[in-house]
Amino acid sequence: MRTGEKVKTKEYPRRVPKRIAIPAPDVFTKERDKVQQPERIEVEIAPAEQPQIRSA
Amino acid sequence: MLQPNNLKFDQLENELALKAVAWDFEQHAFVSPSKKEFVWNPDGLEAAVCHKCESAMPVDMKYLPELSPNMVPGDNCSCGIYSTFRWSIVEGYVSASPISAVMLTEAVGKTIIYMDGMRTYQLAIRAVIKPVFTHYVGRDNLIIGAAYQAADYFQVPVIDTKTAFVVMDLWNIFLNDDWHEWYRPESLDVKGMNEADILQYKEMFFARKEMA
Repeated sequence: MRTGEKVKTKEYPRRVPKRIAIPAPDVFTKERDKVQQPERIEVEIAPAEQPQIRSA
Repeated sequence: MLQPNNLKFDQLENELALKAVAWDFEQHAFVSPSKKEFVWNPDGLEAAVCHKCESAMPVDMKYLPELSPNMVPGDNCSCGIYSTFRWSIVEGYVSASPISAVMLTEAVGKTIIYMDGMRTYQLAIRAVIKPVFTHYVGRDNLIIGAAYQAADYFQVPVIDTKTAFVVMDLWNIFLNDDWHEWYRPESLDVKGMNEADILQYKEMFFARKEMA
């Protein structure tokens, strides 16, 4: 970041952070990020017919 | 003029400047626009880390950080948390994320002051700035939404740009007796004030602060 010419240095007291847990994603974010799963459709597949072997 | 929207002036102590933050969709947190791994905690106070400057610290001090001398930001290093007095500079950092906000921040710890900004050991977030400039047409709702998201995340008030510039300029001038030699105000209102006007505001402000 551009700062320009140095002017002065100051020594202020440090502060102790009061750490707060980063909030969990809200409902909107969860819904937005949810992967849409396609509806499962049960399909019965009939067994394939055995080909009839004809003897010559 | 100096008590806008619940900004807690009685808690201010050091110089104010502008700082951009960007929402990170993966970490669900505000981060530095130029350094994604630098996450801002919702308490709004972060510290700079510089292994180069800290390695110059005497060994016995490394285990007692509360007693250690202020090594960061180093005088001959480029480390520290950067902030700026210029809207034209901070504006260049708001495109890192579609949800970006500009914060009014306060210097904490060792602070190296320059003509256009600061390098600090710690930076404390004090308010979020809601831009009102017309060249944001089309993105207005997103920018205002980002400002309120940042206000909610850091639990700080929202103030408009004009107010933020006046507050930053006057406060920085109040703290520096030699301001007229180097500080260039960002606000047109403050640029138009003479020294008598500024001293009048200073007396009014400190009278209110003592009453608070």
